[in-house]
Amino acid sequence: MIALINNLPIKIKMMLIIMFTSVMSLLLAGAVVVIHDSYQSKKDLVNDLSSIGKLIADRSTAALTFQDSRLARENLSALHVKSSVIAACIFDEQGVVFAKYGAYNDKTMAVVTEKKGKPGGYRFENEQLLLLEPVLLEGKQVGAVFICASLKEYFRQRLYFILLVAAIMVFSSIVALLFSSRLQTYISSPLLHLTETAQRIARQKDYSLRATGSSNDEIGILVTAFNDMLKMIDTQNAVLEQRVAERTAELVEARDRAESADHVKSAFLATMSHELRTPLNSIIGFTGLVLQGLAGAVNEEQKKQLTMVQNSGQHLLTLINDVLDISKIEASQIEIASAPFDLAGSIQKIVQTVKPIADRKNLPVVAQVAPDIGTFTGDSRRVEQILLNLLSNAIKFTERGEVRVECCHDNGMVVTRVTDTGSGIKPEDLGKLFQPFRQVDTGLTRQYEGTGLGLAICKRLVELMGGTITVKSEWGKGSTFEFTLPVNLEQTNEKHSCH
Amino acid sequence: MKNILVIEDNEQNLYLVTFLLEQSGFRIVPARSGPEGIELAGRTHADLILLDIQLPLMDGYTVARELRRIPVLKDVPIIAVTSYAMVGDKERALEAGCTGYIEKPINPSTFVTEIGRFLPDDKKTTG
Repeated sequence: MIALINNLPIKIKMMLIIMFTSVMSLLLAGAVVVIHDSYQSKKDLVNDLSSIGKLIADRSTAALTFQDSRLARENLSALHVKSSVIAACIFDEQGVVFAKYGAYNDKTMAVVTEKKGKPGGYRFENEQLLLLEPVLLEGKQVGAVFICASLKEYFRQRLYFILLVAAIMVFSSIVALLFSSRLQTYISSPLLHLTETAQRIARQKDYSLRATGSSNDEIGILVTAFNDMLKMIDTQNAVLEQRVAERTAELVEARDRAESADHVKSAFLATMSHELRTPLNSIIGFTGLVLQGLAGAVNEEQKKQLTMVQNSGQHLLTLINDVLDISKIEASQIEIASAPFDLAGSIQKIVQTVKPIADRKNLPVVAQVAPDIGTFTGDSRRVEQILLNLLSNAIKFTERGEVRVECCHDNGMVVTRVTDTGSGIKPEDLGKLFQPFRQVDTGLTRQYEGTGLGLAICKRLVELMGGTITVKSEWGKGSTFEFTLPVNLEQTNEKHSCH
Repeated sequence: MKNILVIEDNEQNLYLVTFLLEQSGFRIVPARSGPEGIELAGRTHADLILLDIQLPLMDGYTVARELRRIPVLKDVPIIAVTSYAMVGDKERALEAGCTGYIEKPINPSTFVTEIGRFLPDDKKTTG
C-alpha cells in the first residue's frame, strides 16, 4: 500500500492528500449535523405531541368527571391536525378506555393496556412514538390520554435530510476535487518542470538549460539552487574542457618534442656509431697491417709499441660499443633477433676467443655443455656478447685456478653458468654489480680496464630475452654468474640436464 | 687479374683495403660514393664489389639494390662492409642483394681470405 502510494506521481499524491482531508472533514461535519438533527427532531416530535396530549388531558378533566364520552371524543378529534397520529384514547381512573380515536386495533390496545398505569412518559417502539399524559383534577389523577404516532414521516424527513447532507458532501467533494486539481499545480507544476529539466539535462547532456520558476517559497529556492548548480557545472565544464584542451596541446607538444628528441637521439647514436668507429677502424686496420709486416719490416720494439696501439684501439672500440649498447638499451632502441642457432657452437667459439688471454695467465678454461642443448632459438650475437663479457670478466679477475663454463637444461630454461676461482666480490658490492658505470672496488680494479658497463648490458640483454642473471660470490674464493634463457616452444619436451 | 670495385667514402679505409688487396694481386677500382660506384660498376668489369654500408648521399642498401638492377652485374658478388653490425643489418644487406657480409674493423691477416671465399672461380686466394 505504502509502496503503491510512493510510486504515484506527486500530482496525484497532493490531490489525494487534499481530497482525503476535505472528505474526512465533510464526513465528520455531516455526521455531527445528521446526529444533531435527528436528536433535535425527535425532541421536537416528542414536545409537539406531548403538548397536544397535555392540552387534550386538560380539556378532558370535565368529560371524565361528568362521564361525558362525547366530549371526550370531541377532544380527541382535535388530533386530526396531526396526520402522524395513528391512534389515541382516554382512560378513566380505573384504566378502562373511555374514548377512542383513529385506527384502534388490538395490537394498539395491548400496548395501551400495558401503558395505562404509568402516565407522563413516552417511548419509541416499532417505528411508533407512544405517549401517555395524565388527566389531573386538583392534583389527583383521574385518567390518562394515550397517543400513538407513526414515525414514518419522521424517518422520511431524516432520510431526506441525510440524502441532502450526502448530496452536499458529494457536491463539496467535487468542488474540492476541482480546487485541489487546480491548486496542486501551484506546487506540482514547478516540481514537474524541475524534474523534466533535470531529465532533459541528463538525456541531452546540455548543461546550458535552465529551470524556470518565480515563486519565493522552498520550490523557488530549489529552482534557484538547481540553476546555480547548473551554472557551476557549466562553468566548471568549460574550465575543464579548456584545461583538457590545454593539457592535450601540451602533451601533443611534449610528445612531438620527445619524438623528435628520440629521433635526434637515434640519429645521433647512428652518426656517433659511424663517426667514432671509422677512424678507429683505420687505426686498428693499419696497425694490424704494419704489424703483419705487409708494409715492410718492423723491429721488436716497434712491434711491441704497435701492439699497444692495437690493444688500445681495440679497447677504445669496446668502450664505444658498450656506451652505444647501453644508450640503445636505455632508449629502447635495441632489437632482439630470434633465429635458431647452435648454442654449444657459440660457447665453443667464445671460449676460443678468450683462450689466448687465459693462456697468457696459464689459466685453463673448461667448457661443459650438456649433450641435449642442441639448437637454441634466440639472438646468437647477443648470447655471444653476454658469454664473452662473463668469460672475459672471469679471466680478468682470476689469477690461478680455472674458469669454467657450463650449460644445461633446467625446467624449460637453458642455464649457462660461468664460474671462476678469482678474487670474488664483497657482499656489499653484489647489489651494484649490474648497475651501469660501476666497477666494483674501484681502488683495486684500477689494474683492470673496462667500462663498467659490461654487466649492466648483460643484465639488460638477458632480461630482454626473457631470462634472468644472478651472481653468487665469496670474497677471495671466486664467483659464479648464472643466466637463464627461456627455451623456445618447439622444444616442449622438458629436459633436465642440470646437476 | 681480378677487378674489385671498392665503394668506400673514407680515404683511410679505402687505402687500407686497396693496400691489402693490391698486395694479394687484385686490381682495385675505387669509388667514393654510391652513385659513383653504380656508374663505375656498369663500365668496369668488376669480379667482386666491396660495398661500405654507411655512405653519404645514398646508403649501401640502396646502392646494392641499384647494382643488382644492372644486368651484367647479376652474378657479381657484392660484399657489404659495416662497423659493429646491429641486429637485422646482415639480413637487410642480404635482402638488398648482397652476397656476403664483413664486419669492421677488418682484420688484415684474414681479410683477403674472407674476400677470396666469395670469388667464384679457381683463382681463389688463400692465406
